[in-house]
Amino acid sequence: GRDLICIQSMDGMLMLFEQESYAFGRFLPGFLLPGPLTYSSRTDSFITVSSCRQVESYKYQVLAFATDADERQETEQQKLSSGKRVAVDWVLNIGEQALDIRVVSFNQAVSSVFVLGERNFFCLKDNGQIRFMKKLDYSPSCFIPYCSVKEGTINTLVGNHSKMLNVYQDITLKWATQLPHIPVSVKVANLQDLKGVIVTLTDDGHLQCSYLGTDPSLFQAPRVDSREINYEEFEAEMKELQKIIKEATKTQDILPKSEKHRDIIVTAEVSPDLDAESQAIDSEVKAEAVPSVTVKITIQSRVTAQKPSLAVCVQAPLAVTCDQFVFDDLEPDSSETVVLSVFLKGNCSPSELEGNCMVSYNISTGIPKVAQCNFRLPLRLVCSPAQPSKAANHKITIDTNKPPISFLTIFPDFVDPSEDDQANVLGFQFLTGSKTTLLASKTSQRYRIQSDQLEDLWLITKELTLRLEEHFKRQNCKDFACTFSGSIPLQEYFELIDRHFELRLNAEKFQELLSERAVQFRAIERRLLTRFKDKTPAPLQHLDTLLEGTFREVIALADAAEENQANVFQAFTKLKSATHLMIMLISLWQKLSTDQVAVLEATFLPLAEDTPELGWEETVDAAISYLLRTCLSKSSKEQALTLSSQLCMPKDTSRLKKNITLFCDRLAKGGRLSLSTDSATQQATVMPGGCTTIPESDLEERTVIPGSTATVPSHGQIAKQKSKP
Amino acid sequence: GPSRSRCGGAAGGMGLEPEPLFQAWSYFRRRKFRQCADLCSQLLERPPSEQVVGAGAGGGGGGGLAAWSLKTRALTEMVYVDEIDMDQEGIAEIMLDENAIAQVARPGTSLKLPGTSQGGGPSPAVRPVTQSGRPITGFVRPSTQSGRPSTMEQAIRTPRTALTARPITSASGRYGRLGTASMITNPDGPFINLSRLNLAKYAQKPKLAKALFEYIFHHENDVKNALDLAALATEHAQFKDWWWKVQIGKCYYRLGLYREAEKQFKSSLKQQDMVDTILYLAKVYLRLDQPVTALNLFKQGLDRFPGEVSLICGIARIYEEMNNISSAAEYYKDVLKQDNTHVEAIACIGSNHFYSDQPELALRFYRRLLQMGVYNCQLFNNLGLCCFYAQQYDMTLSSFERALFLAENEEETADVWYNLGHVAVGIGDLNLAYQCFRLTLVNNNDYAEAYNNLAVLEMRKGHIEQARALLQTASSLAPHMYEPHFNFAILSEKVGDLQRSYTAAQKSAEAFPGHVDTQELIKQLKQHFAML
Repeated sequence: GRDLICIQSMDGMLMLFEQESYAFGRFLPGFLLPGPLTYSSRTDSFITVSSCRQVESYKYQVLAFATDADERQETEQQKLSSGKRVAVDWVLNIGEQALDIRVVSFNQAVSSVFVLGERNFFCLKDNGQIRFMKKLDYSPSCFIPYCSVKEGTINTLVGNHSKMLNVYQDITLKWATQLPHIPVSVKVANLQDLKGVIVTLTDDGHLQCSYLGTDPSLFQAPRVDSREINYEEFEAEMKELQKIIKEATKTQDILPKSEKHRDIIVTAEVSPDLDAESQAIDSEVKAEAVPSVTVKITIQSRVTAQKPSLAVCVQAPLAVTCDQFVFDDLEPDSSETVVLSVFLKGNCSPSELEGNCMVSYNISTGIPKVAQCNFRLPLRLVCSPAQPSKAANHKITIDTNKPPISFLTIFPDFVDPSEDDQANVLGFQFLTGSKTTLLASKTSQRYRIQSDQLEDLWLITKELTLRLEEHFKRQNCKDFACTFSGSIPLQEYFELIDRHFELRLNAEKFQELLSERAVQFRAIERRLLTRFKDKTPAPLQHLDTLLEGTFREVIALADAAEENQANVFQAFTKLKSATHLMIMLISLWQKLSTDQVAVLEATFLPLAEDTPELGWEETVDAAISYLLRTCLSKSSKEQALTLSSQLCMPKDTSRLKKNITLFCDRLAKGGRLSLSTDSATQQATVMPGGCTTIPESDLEERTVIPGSTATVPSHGQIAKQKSKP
Repeated sequence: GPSRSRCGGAAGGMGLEPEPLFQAWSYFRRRKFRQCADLCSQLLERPPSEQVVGAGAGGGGGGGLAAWSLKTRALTEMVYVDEIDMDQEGIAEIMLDENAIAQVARPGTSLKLPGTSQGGGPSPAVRPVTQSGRPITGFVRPSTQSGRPSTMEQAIRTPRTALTARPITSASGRYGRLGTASMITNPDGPFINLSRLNLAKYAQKPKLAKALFEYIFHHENDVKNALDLAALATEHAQFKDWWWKVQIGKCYYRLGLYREAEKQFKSSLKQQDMVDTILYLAKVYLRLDQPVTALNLFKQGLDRFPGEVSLICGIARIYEEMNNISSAAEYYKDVLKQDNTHVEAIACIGSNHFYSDQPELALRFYRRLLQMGVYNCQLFNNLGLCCFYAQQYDMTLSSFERALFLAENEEETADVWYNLGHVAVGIGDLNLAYQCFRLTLVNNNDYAEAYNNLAVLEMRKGHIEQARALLQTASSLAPHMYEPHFNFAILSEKVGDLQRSYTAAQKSAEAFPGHVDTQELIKQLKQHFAML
C-alpha cells in the first residue's frame, strides 16, 4: 500500500522516494537529455529512451544495488554517471528519439511496451524485441494505448502536430479525427457515467474532453466570389468580346494601328561631326584611329511611364559605348536625354549605317508599350577621303536623268575645296583598309563606282543615291531617278556566297569533330571512374595520358571552331553588303516599286544573323523557290510542286545559284513580285474534300496531383470510415 | 513487490521561471525549433561557471553539451526532409551509369524500357504517357519525372519544360534546393564549423554523434564529412550499431556508390529489421534498375511488418512504373485498407478509374480527397473532367471555375484551359475550344497537346498551312507523343505528300507501336509506293 515515486531530473538522475522519504538516487549511464521514462511492473524495471537513441530497461534491483555506498556519491559522481556500475537489463536500438513510452497489459493482449518515436511507432515485447512498428508520415505529439477491442490487438490514440488524432488498431488506421488544437498529452477517462472520454491537453494549458462523433465535419471549400448573373449584360459583354476577338484575328499583324499621338516620343540626333576625341573602346580595327560619333537620344513622355528602359542597337561590326539605359518612372510632360557614341568595333565594314533605339515602358494600367526610332550614321564613321585609284576589279555604273552634280556639292565632307580635280573623282578609304573610287562623268549623266571588292561598292553606292536624291529634293526637282542598265554582277556575287558557305561547312565539320572527341573523352572518363572506384585499383595503362590528350584536342578544336565562327561572321557581313547592293541594282534595273523592293528585301535578307541551325543559303533558297513557283511561275505545272517543310543546310550552293539566275531572268522577262493572296496564280493547296475529317481525336487530360507522400493537409478533416465502439 | 507509482518528467523548480534547458527541451518537444535554438544559443553563450545544470550533473560534460546537442537537433528538424522521398537523377548519373549490366534488359526486368512489360497497362491512346514512355500517374513524385534518354546529346536537348521529363545538371541540383539551410547565411556564421570539428572525438560519444551526424547530413548537406563521421562511429561501435550502417548507406547513395550502399543496408538489416532500412535498400535497387529485386524485398519486408503502408505503397509505385497498372491498383487498394486517408493511393486509384473509362468511380475518389481537405487547382481540374465524362454537366464548369481561381501559376492555368478546351470540343463548341486552346498557349507556350488540338481545329477549317505549322511545333515540343506525328501523316497524305506522310507515320509508330490507325496508314502508303 505504499507509494513509490521516481523522479528524473534534467541531469539524468533518478531519485526514488518511498512515500515522502528519499530512498536513493542513481545517475543513468550515457545521459545527455532526459527521455521518456516508465515503469514496468511485470519485469520490475524502469524503461527509458536514452540520448543514444536506444530503448533501455533497468531492473529496479540493479538500480538499487548498483553501489553500496550512496554517501560516496559526491566524490564518485563521475564514476557513477559513466555507468559502469549500473548494468542495463536489455537495450533496443531504435535509431531515433522518442516522445513517450507506455507499458500496457490488457486482458486479451500480451503485455507490451509501446514507444512513440519521432518518426516511427513501436510495439516491443517484454524482452525488448520489436513486435511491430509503423512508419508515421506526420510528426506525432502524444499517444496512449488505451484498450484492446479485438483479441490480440491493442488500440492506440496518436495525436500529431497537424491537429489530428488517429486511432490505430495495432497499425491499421481505424479512425482519424480533427482536433481544434495540437495535443501535448492525451488520456482516456471514465467520468462517472461517461465512459471513454478523450481528454487532451494543449500546450497553453487548455483541457478538452471530447468523444468521437459520428457527424463528419467535412471540409467546406470556400465559396468562389461570384456575381449575380445578369444574362442580358453578360450577353452584351460576350458579344462585345467576340467582336474584339474577331477583329484581332482578322487583321494579320498583331500590332495596333499607329496612334496619332504617342504616349512617348523617342528622338535620336546624330551629331554632324565626328567626336573630337574618339570614344571607341576595344575596337578590333587595325587602323590608326577609330573615329566615333555622338548620338543624343531624347525621350519625351506625355503620360506617366513606369519602368522605362532604353535599348540602343546598331548592327555588328558597329558598336555603341552603352546600349542599355534604365530610368526612374517618368512623370507626364517630362523628358530624359542620354548621350552615347557609336564606333566600328569589328574588323570589317558594316552592311548598313543605321541604328535603332527602343523604349519599353508600362503605362499606368500596367500594359507594356514600346516606342522606337531609327537613326542614320555618317559615312565618315567607317571611311575617310583618300587618293582615288584608276584601276579596280569591280565597276558599276549608275545612270541618272539629270546632269551630273559636282562632288563639291554633294560630298562636302569628303572633298577638300582647295583641290579642283576632286569635283568629279573621289576616293574613299575604309577603316578596314580597302579603297573605293567614285567617278562622275563630265559629259553624260552617269556615275561610276569602282573597287577591288564587290561588297565595298555598296556603302558608297547607297550614299551616292541618297545624297543625290536629297540634293534634288532640295531643289524641288521631283522627277529625278536613278537607273542601272548593265548586267547584274551575279558571278562575283556567287563567289561571296560560296565563300560564306564554305565557312559554314567548316563550322559543321568542327562541330562533328568536337562531338566525336567529346564522346571519346566521356568514354575515357567512364573507364577511369570504374578503375578508381575499385577497392584495388588496376593500373591506369596510360588512360590518364589519353584523357589529357583528348582534352587538349577538344580545346584545340574549340579554339579553331571559335576562329571559324568569327570568319563566318565576317563573311556574312560581306555577303549582306553585297546582297544589299544586288537588291539595289535589281530594283534600279527593273525600276521596281517600293512594294516590290520590300518583297525583294524580305526574300534576300531574311535573317539578321545566321546560325548553324538556320543559315542564309537555305532560307533564301526557300524564299526564291516560293516566288518562282507563285508570282514568277511560267506555267501551272511548276506550281504543283509541294513546298518543302523543313529547312536544312544544302549540300552545295548550285541550286541556290541556279534559282537566283532564274529569278533574275524571270524579272527581266517582266515578272512581278507580289505576295497578294488573291493573285490568280496562287496555288490551291487544298485538295477537294481533303480535310473534312479530324483524323484522330487525340484529346487528352492531365490529371496530376502534386505533392509528396507526406502531405496530409493541415486543415484537412477526415471523414469517418467505420463506427467505433 | 511494493506498488510503485510512476512519475516521469523533469524536476525544474527554480521558482516560477522554468529552468532554461528544460524550457528549451520543452520547446523542442512542441516543435518550436526557432525558440529552442535561440534559447540554446543563449545557454551556450554563458560562461561555463554559470551553466547551472552542467555544474552539478557531471553527466559526461553537462548542460553545455546537452544544449549544444539540443540545438543541433532543433536546427536539423527545421529542414528535415525524409531521405526516402528524395530522388532525382541528373544527366551525369543517367549517362555515366556504370551499374548497368546489359545494354538491353530482358522484358519485365527493367524500368528503362517501360513498354517491355505486358501487365495489361492502358495504351497511350487512352492514357497519356510521359516522355520516358510511362503512363501519366495520378500523383507527382520526384521519381515520376525522371526520363532515361539514350544519348548525352539527347539528354541535353530534352525540352526543358516543367511538365515533361527534365534532366538536371547534376545530382546536387535538387539536394541543394531541398537542404537549403546551408545556404541561408547566419549572421554569426554557421553554428558548427565543420572544418574545425574533430570528428574522431565525437565519433566516440554515441550520445552526441547521432544528432551531430543528422545535423551535418540534413542541415549542412555535407555528405563527405557526414560519411567520415559515420565511418568512425561505426568503427567505434564495433560495427554493431545498425543505425550507423544505414547512415553510411545513405551517404553512399548520395555519392552514387550504390553497390556499397546496398552492402551497408543489407548488413544493417541482418542486425535489425527496420522499415526505413528496407525502403532505403529498395531505393538502391530501383536506382540500379532492378525493380524485381526491389519488389521481392518489399514483399519480404511485408512478411516481417505486415500491413506497413510505406512498403505496400512502394510495391504499387514500382508496378505503376513498370506499366503494370492493374497490379498497381490492387496494391493501392491494400494501402487504403490500412490507411484510408492516404492521399497518394486515393489519387492514383482515382486517375486509374478515370483512364479506364469509369469517371463516376474516379469522381468518388476525388470527392473523398476534397472531403479530406485537399483544396487545390489540380483536384478541381480532375473533378471537372470527371464530372464532364460522368455527364454531370452542371458541376463541370463550376469545378473548372474553382480550378482557375485556385491556380497558383501559369502552368496550372494552362492545364485548366486545356481541359476546358477539351470540354468545349466535347459539346461541339469549336469556337470556344479554339479560344480555350489559344488561352492555354498564352499561359504556357510549351503546351504540345494544345498545339496539336489547335492543329486539328485548323484542319477542320481547312487551314492546311496553319495546321501543318502547329503540328510541327507540337511534335518538336513533345517528340514522345504519337498524335502530332500521326495527324501530320494524315494531313500530308491528304494533300498528296506521301513521302512526308510516310516519315511522320514512322515516327508515330515509333512513339506508339500498337496504334492500329498508324499501321494501316503505313500499309496503305506502302501499297501506294509499290504501285508507283
